[in-house]
Amino acid sequence: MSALSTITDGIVKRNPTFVLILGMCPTLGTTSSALTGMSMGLATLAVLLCSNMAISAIRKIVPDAVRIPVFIIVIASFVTVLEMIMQAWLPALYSALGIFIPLIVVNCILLGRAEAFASKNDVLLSACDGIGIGTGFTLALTAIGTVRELLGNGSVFGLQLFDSSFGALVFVLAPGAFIVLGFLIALFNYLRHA
Amino acid sequence: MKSTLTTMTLSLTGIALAVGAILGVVHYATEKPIEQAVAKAKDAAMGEILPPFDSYAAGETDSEELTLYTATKDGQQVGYAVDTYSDNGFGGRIGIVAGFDTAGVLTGYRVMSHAETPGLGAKMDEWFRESGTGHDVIGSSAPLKVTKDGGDVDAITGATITSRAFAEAINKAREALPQKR
Repeated sequence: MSALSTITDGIVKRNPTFVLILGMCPTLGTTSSALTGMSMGLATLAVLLCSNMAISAIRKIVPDAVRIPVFIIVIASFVTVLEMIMQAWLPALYSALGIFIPLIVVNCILLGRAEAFASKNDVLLSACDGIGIGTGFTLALTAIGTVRELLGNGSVFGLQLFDSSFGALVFVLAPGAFIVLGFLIALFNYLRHA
Repeated sequence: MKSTLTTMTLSLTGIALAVGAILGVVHYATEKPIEQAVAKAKDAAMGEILPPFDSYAAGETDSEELTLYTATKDGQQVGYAVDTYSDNGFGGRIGIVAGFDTAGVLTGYRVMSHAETPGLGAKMDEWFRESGTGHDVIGSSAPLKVTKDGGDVDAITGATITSRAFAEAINKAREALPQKR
Protein backbone atom coordinates (compact mmCIF):
# COMPACT_ATOMS: atom_id res chain seq x y z
CA MET A 1 0.00 0.00 0.00
CA SER A 2 1.80 3.08 -1.23
CA ALA A 3 1.35 6.61 0.06
CA LEU A 4 -0.10 7.83 -3.24
CA SER A 5 -2.65 5.03 -3.59
CA THR A 6 -3.75 5.66 0.01
CA ILE A 7 -4.56 9.25 -0.94
CA THR A 8 -6.40 8.41 -4.18
CA ASP A 9 -8.30 5.56 -2.46
CA GLY A 10 -9.63 8.09 0.06
CA ILE A 11 -10.97 10.24 -2.75
CA VAL A 12 -12.47 7.54 -5.02
CA LYS A 13 -12.52 3.93 -3.75
CA ARG A 14 -13.15 4.84 -0.11
CA ASN A 15 -14.84 8.21 -0.59
CA PRO A 16 -16.37 8.81 2.87
CA THR A 17 -19.58 10.39 1.58
CA PHE A 18 -20.39 8.52 -1.63
CA VAL A 19 -18.94 5.06 -0.88
CA LEU A 20 -18.52 4.60 2.89
CA ILE A 21 -21.64 6.75 3.54
CA LEU A 22 -20.08 8.06 6.76
CA GLY A 23 -20.53 11.44 8.47
CA MET A 24 -23.99 12.05 7.05
CA CYS A 25 -24.96 14.62 9.70
CA PRO A 26 -22.55 17.40 8.63
CA THR A 27 -23.01 16.31 5.01
CA LEU A 28 -26.73 17.00 5.11
CA GLY A 29 -26.52 19.93 7.51
CA THR A 30 -23.80 22.13 6.06
CA THR A 31 -24.33 21.76 2.31
CA SER A 32 -27.08 24.33 1.81
CA SER A 33 -24.48 26.37 -0.10
CA ALA A 34 -21.26 25.47 -1.91
CA LEU A 35 -19.13 27.70 0.31
CA THR A 36 -20.34 26.36 3.68
CA GLY A 37 -20.00 22.79 2.37
CA MET A 38 -16.45 23.39 1.24
CA SER A 39 -15.47 25.19 4.47
CA MET A 40 -16.83 22.32 6.54
CA GLY A 41 -14.90 19.87 4.36
CA LEU A 42 -11.63 21.78 4.78
CA ALA A 43 -12.07 22.15 8.56
CA THR A 44 -12.72 18.40 8.82
CA LEU A 45 -9.69 17.72 6.60
CA ALA A 46 -7.45 19.73 8.97
CA VAL A 47 -8.70 17.93 12.08
CA LEU A 48 -8.62 14.50 10.40
CA LEU A 49 -5.02 14.97 9.27
CA CYS A 50 -3.88 15.98 12.79
CA SER A 51 -5.91 13.34 14.63
CA ASN A 52 -4.83 10.53 12.27
CA MET A 53 -1.14 11.42 12.76
CA ALA A 54 -1.43 11.81 16.54
CA ILE A 55 -3.38 8.58 16.98
CA SER A 56 -0.95 6.67 14.78
CA ALA A 57 1.99 8.06 16.80
CA ILE A 58 0.54 6.91 20.13
CA ARG A 59 -1.02 3.66 18.85
CA LYS A 60 1.56 1.43 20.56
CA ILE A 61 1.18 2.91 24.04
CA VAL A 62 -2.63 2.88 24.13
CA PRO A 63 -4.20 -0.22 25.77
CA ASP A 64 -6.89 -1.78 23.52
CA ALA A 65 -9.67 -1.55 26.09
CA VAL A 66 -9.45 2.26 26.40
CA ARG A 67 -8.58 3.13 22.80
CA ILE A 68 -11.99 4.68 21.96
CA PRO A 69 -11.91 7.20 24.87
CA VAL A 70 -8.32 8.08 23.90
CA PHE A 71 -9.31 8.63 20.25
CA ILE A 72 -12.19 10.86 21.31
CA ILE A 73 -9.95 12.92 23.65
CA VAL A 74 -7.44 13.44 20.84
CA ILE A 75 -10.10 14.38 18.26
CA ALA A 76 -11.97 16.71 20.65
CA SER A 77 -8.72 18.48 21.55
CA PHE A 78 -7.79 19.15 17.92
CA VAL A 79 -11.27 20.48 17.25
CA THR A 80 -11.04 22.81 20.27
CA VAL A 81 -7.61 24.03 19.20
CA LEU A 82 -8.88 24.65 15.65
CA GLU A 83 -11.90 26.50 17.05
CA MET A 84 -9.76 28.79 19.22
CA ILE A 85 -7.31 29.51 16.39
CA MET A 86 -10.11 30.34 13.95
CA GLN A 87 -11.81 32.55 16.53
CA ALA A 88 -8.58 34.47 17.10
CA TRP A 89 -7.22 34.87 13.60
CA LEU A 90 -10.06 34.04 11.18
CA PRO A 91 -13.11 35.59 12.90
CA ALA A 92 -15.05 36.00 9.62
CA LEU A 93 -14.75 32.30 8.75
CA TYR A 94 -15.48 31.39 12.37
CA SER A 95 -18.76 33.30 12.42
CA ALA A 96 -19.74 31.86 9.03
CA LEU A 97 -19.30 28.25 10.15
CA GLY A 98 -20.45 28.91 13.72
CA ILE A 99 -21.98 25.85 15.29
CA PHE A 100 -20.54 23.36 12.79
CA ILE A 101 -16.96 23.55 14.08
CA PRO A 102 -17.63 21.94 17.50
CA LEU A 103 -19.76 19.35 15.68
CA ILE A 104 -16.67 17.99 13.91
CA VAL A 105 -16.05 16.03 17.13
CA VAL A 106 -19.10 13.86 16.53
CA ASN A 107 -18.31 13.28 12.85
CA CYS A 108 -17.93 9.51 12.67
CA ILE A 109 -15.43 9.77 9.79
CA LEU A 110 -12.79 10.87 12.31
CA LEU A 111 -13.40 8.07 14.78
CA GLY A 112 -13.89 5.66 11.89
CA ARG A 113 -10.51 6.44 10.31
CA ALA A 114 -8.79 6.40 13.72
CA GLU A 115 -10.17 2.94 14.43
CA ALA A 116 -9.92 1.44 10.95
CA PHE A 117 -6.67 2.96 9.74
CA ALA A 118 -4.58 5.19 12.03
CA SER A 119 -4.48 2.68 14.89
CA LYS A 120 -3.00 0.05 12.54
CA ASN A 121 -0.64 2.02 10.27
CA ASP A 122 2.43 4.23 10.61
CA VAL A 123 2.32 8.02 10.83
CA LEU A 124 3.12 8.72 7.16
CA LEU A 125 0.43 6.38 5.79
CA SER A 126 -2.07 7.71 8.35
CA ALA A 127 -1.32 11.27 7.24
CA CYS A 128 -1.92 10.21 3.61
CA ASP A 129 -5.18 8.54 4.62
CA GLY A 130 -6.21 11.76 6.40
CA ILE A 131 -5.43 13.85 3.32
CA GLY A 132 -7.21 11.41 0.99
CA ILE A 133 -10.36 10.91 3.03
CA GLY A 134 -10.44 14.63 3.96
CA THR A 135 -10.13 15.65 0.32
CA GLY A 136 -12.79 13.15 -0.71
CA PHE A 137 -15.10 14.56 1.97
CA THR A 138 -14.38 18.16 0.92
CA LEU A 139 -15.02 17.43 -2.76
CA ALA A 140 -18.24 15.56 -1.96
CA LEU A 141 -19.58 18.35 0.28
CA THR A 142 -18.65 20.99 -2.28
CA ALA A 143 -20.45 19.01 -5.01
CA ILE A 144 -23.62 18.58 -2.94
CA GLY A 145 -23.48 22.22 -1.83
CA THR A 146 -23.05 23.44 -5.41
CA VAL A 147 -26.05 21.45 -6.69
CA ARG A 148 -28.26 22.49 -3.76
CA GLU A 149 -27.28 26.16 -3.99
CA LEU A 150 -27.83 26.18 -7.78
CA LEU A 151 -31.26 24.48 -7.67
CA GLY A 152 -32.42 26.18 -4.50
CA ASN A 153 -31.06 29.69 -4.80
CA GLY A 154 -29.87 30.05 -8.42
CA SER A 155 -26.29 30.77 -7.43
CA VAL A 156 -22.94 29.00 -7.17
CA PHE A 157 -20.45 30.14 -4.50
CA GLY A 158 -22.61 33.24 -4.04
CA LEU A 159 -22.42 34.11 -7.76
CA GLN A 160 -26.01 34.66 -8.91
CA LEU A 161 -26.63 32.71 -12.16
CA PHE A 162 -30.38 33.25 -12.35
CA ASP A 163 -32.86 35.00 -10.09
CA SER A 164 -33.28 33.31 -6.72
CA SER A 165 -37.09 33.43 -7.06
CA PHE A 166 -36.79 30.64 -9.68
CA GLY A 167 -35.03 28.43 -7.15
CA ALA A 168 -36.91 25.55 -5.51
CA LEU A 169 -36.68 26.22 -1.78
CA VAL A 170 -36.91 22.48 -1.04
CA PHE A 171 -33.29 22.04 -2.17
CA VAL A 172 -32.04 24.43 0.51
CA LEU A 173 -34.07 22.61 3.15
CA ALA A 174 -33.43 19.14 4.60
CA PRO A 175 -35.48 17.08 2.07
CA GLY A 176 -33.43 18.58 -0.78
CA ALA A 177 -30.26 17.46 0.97
CA PHE A 178 -31.45 13.84 0.93
CA ILE A 179 -32.62 14.03 -2.69
CA VAL A 180 -29.36 15.56 -3.97
CA LEU A 181 -27.25 13.18 -1.85
CA GLY A 182 -29.12 10.17 -3.24
CA PHE A 183 -28.72 11.22 -6.86
CA LEU A 184 -25.03 12.07 -6.40
CA ILE A 185 -24.32 8.71 -4.70
CA ALA A 186 -25.97 6.95 -7.65
CA LEU A 187 -24.05 9.03 -10.19
CA PHE A 188 -20.71 8.61 -8.37
CA ASN A 189 -21.05 4.85 -8.16
CA TYR A 190 -22.26 4.56 -11.76
CA LEU A 191 -19.13 6.44 -12.94
CA ARG A 192 -16.90 4.48 -10.55
CA HIS A 193 -18.02 1.15 -11.99
CA ALA A 194 -18.34 2.32 -15.59
CA MET B 1 -0.69 -2.90 24.32
CA LYS B 2 -2.21 -5.25 26.90
CA SER B 3 -5.03 -3.77 28.94
CA THR B 4 -4.42 -4.02 32.65
CA LEU B 5 -5.76 -1.64 35.25
CA THR B 6 -2.32 -0.06 35.57
CA THR B 7 -1.66 0.50 31.87
CA MET B 8 -5.19 1.78 31.29
CA THR B 9 -5.04 4.24 34.19
CA LEU B 10 -1.54 5.40 33.33
CA SER B 11 -2.16 5.92 29.62
CA LEU B 12 -5.52 7.66 30.08
CA THR B 13 -4.12 9.95 32.80
CA GLY B 14 -1.01 10.69 30.79
CA ILE B 15 -2.90 11.51 27.60
CA ALA B 16 -5.47 13.62 29.44
CA LEU B 17 -2.67 15.59 31.14
CA ALA B 18 -0.76 16.12 27.89
CA VAL B 19 -3.89 17.21 26.04
CA GLY B 20 -4.91 19.49 28.92
CA ALA B 21 -1.51 21.17 28.80
CA ILE B 22 -1.76 21.71 25.03
CA LEU B 23 -5.25 23.20 25.36
CA GLY B 24 -4.04 25.47 28.16
CA VAL B 25 -1.18 26.79 26.04
CA VAL B 26 -3.40 27.38 23.00
CA HIS B 27 -6.01 29.10 25.17
CA TYR B 28 -3.33 31.34 26.66
CA ALA B 29 -1.97 32.19 23.20
CA THR B 30 -5.38 32.92 21.65
CA GLU B 31 -7.10 34.69 24.56
CA LYS B 32 -5.85 38.19 23.68
CA PRO B 33 -6.29 37.89 19.89
CA ILE B 34 -9.88 36.62 20.41
CA GLU B 35 -10.67 39.60 22.66
CA GLN B 36 -9.17 41.96 20.10
CA ALA B 37 -11.09 40.32 17.25
CA VAL B 38 -14.37 40.66 19.17
CA ALA B 39 -13.65 44.33 20.03
CA LYS B 40 -12.67 45.04 16.42
CA ALA B 41 -15.85 43.44 15.11
CA LYS B 42 -17.85 45.59 17.53
CA ASP B 43 -16.08 48.80 16.46
CA ALA B 44 -16.67 47.94 12.81
CA ALA B 45 -20.34 47.22 13.53
CA MET B 46 -20.76 50.53 15.39
CA GLY B 47 -19.32 52.42 12.41
CA GLU B 48 -21.81 50.74 10.09
CA ILE B 49 -25.01 51.03 12.06
CA LEU B 50 -24.75 54.53 13.58
CA PRO B 51 -24.85 58.03 12.11
CA PRO B 52 -21.30 59.48 11.81
CA PHE B 53 -19.76 59.81 15.29
CA ASP B 54 -16.43 60.50 17.05
CA SER B 55 -16.69 58.18 20.02
CA TYR B 56 -19.07 55.90 21.85
CA ALA B 57 -19.38 54.96 25.49
CA ALA B 58 -21.65 52.80 27.61
CA GLY B 59 -24.69 54.87 28.56
CA GLU B 60 -27.49 54.57 31.08
CA THR B 61 -30.59 52.57 30.40
CA ASP B 62 -33.57 51.27 32.37
CA SER B 63 -33.07 47.85 30.89
CA GLU B 64 -31.29 45.46 33.21
CA GLU B 65 -30.11 42.96 30.62
CA LEU B 66 -29.15 45.03 27.59
CA THR B 67 -26.10 47.28 27.20
CA LEU B 68 -26.70 50.70 25.70
CA TYR B 69 -24.00 52.83 24.09
CA THR B 70 -24.34 56.52 23.33
CA ALA B 71 -22.46 57.86 20.34
CA THR B 72 -21.31 61.48 20.34
CA LYS B 73 -19.93 63.79 17.67
CA ASP B 74 -18.36 67.15 18.72
CA GLY B 75 -19.83 66.67 22.19
CA GLN B 76 -23.35 66.26 20.80
CA GLN B 77 -25.32 63.02 21.14
CA VAL B 78 -25.98 61.64 17.69
CA GLY B 79 -27.34 58.18 18.37
CA TYR B 80 -27.57 55.01 20.43
CA ALA B 81 -26.41 51.47 19.89
CA VAL B 82 -27.98 48.63 21.84
CA ASP B 83 -26.43 45.21 22.36
CA THR B 84 -29.58 43.13 22.12
CA TYR B 85 -30.55 39.50 21.67
CA SER B 86 -33.38 37.03 21.32
CA ASP B 87 -33.47 33.51 22.71
CA ASN B 88 -36.24 32.48 20.30
CA GLY B 89 -34.13 31.89 17.20
CA PHE B 90 -34.40 28.58 15.34
CA GLY B 91 -30.97 27.63 16.67
CA GLY B 92 -31.06 29.40 20.03
CA ARG B 93 -29.73 32.83 20.89
CA ILE B 94 -29.31 35.52 18.24
CA GLY B 95 -27.08 38.45 19.22
CA ILE B 96 -27.64 41.74 17.40
CA VAL B 97 -26.31 45.29 17.78
CA ALA B 98 -28.95 47.78 16.72
CA GLY B 99 -28.25 51.44 15.98
CA PHE B 100 -30.78 54.27 16.49
CA ASP B 101 -30.60 58.02 15.96
CA THR B 102 -31.69 60.36 18.76
CA ALA B 103 -35.30 60.32 17.48
CA GLY B 104 -35.47 56.55 17.86
CA VAL B 105 -35.31 55.72 14.14
CA LEU B 106 -33.47 52.48 13.38
CA THR B 107 -30.30 53.46 11.49
CA GLY B 108 -28.76 50.03 11.12
CA TYR B 109 -28.11 46.65 12.66
CA ARG B 110 -25.52 43.92 12.64
CA VAL B 111 -26.00 40.27 13.59
CA MET B 112 -23.06 39.45 15.85
CA SER B 113 -23.75 35.83 16.75
CA HIS B 114 -26.32 33.23 15.76
CA ALA B 115 -26.79 29.55 15.03
CA GLU B 116 -29.46 29.79 12.32
CA THR B 117 -29.65 27.57 9.23
CA PRO B 118 -27.14 28.65 6.55
CA GLY B 119 -28.98 29.79 3.42
CA LEU B 120 -32.21 30.40 5.34
CA GLY B 121 -32.23 32.11 8.74
CA ALA B 122 -28.58 33.06 8.37
CA LYS B 123 -29.65 35.45 5.62
CA MET B 124 -31.02 37.87 8.25
CA ASP B 125 -27.78 39.90 8.28
CA GLU B 126 -28.62 41.18 4.75
CA TRP B 127 -32.30 40.41 4.34
CA PHE B 128 -33.69 43.11 6.63
CA ARG B 129 -31.67 45.92 5.09
CA GLU B 130 -32.23 45.28 1.38
CA SER B 131 -33.73 48.65 0.47
CA GLY B 132 -36.78 48.94 -1.77
CA THR B 133 -38.26 45.62 -0.63
CA GLY B 134 -41.04 44.67 1.77
CA HIS B 135 -38.48 43.60 4.31
CA ASP B 136 -36.29 46.69 4.65
CA VAL B 137 -36.48 47.71 8.30
CA ILE B 138 -33.84 50.47 8.26
CA GLY B 139 -35.53 53.78 8.92
CA SER B 140 -38.45 52.29 10.80
CA SER B 141 -39.54 53.94 14.03
CA ALA B 142 -42.34 51.60 15.14
CA PRO B 143 -42.06 48.11 16.66
CA LEU B 144 -41.46 45.43 14.02
CA LYS B 145 -43.89 42.61 13.27
CA VAL B 146 -43.72 40.05 10.46
CA THR B 147 -46.63 39.89 7.96
CA LYS B 148 -47.69 36.46 9.20
CA ASP B 149 -48.40 38.00 12.61
CA GLY B 150 -50.30 40.93 11.10
CA GLY B 151 -47.31 43.26 10.76
CA ASP B 152 -45.75 44.73 7.63
CA VAL B 153 -42.26 43.18 7.53
CA ASP B 154 -41.85 40.30 5.07
CA ALA B 155 -40.25 37.34 6.85
CA ILE B 156 -37.28 35.52 5.29
CA THR B 157 -38.66 32.83 2.96
CA GLY B 158 -38.59 29.57 4.90
CA ALA B 159 -37.35 31.19 8.10
CA THR B 160 -40.33 32.77 9.84
CA ILE B 161 -39.07 31.75 13.29
CA THR B 162 -35.74 33.50 12.70
CA SER B 163 -37.58 36.57 11.41
CA ARG B 164 -39.80 36.70 14.51
CA ALA B 165 -36.75 36.40 16.78
CA PHE B 166 -35.04 39.16 14.82
CA ALA B 167 -38.05 41.46 15.25
CA GLU B 168 -38.18 40.61 18.95
CA ALA B 169 -34.51 41.52 19.45
CA ILE B 170 -34.89 44.85 17.63
CA ASN B 171 -38.07 45.70 19.54
CA LYS B 172 -36.34 44.87 22.80
CA ALA B 173 -33.49 47.21 21.86
CA ARG B 174 -35.96 49.99 21.05
CA GLU B 175 -37.54 49.68 24.49
CA ALA B 176 -34.13 50.17 26.11
CA LEU B 177 -33.71 53.60 24.50
CA PRO B 178 -33.65 56.54 26.95
CA GLN B 179 -36.45 58.61 25.36
CA LYS B 180 -38.91 55.82 26.10
CA ARG B 181 -38.70 56.68 29.80
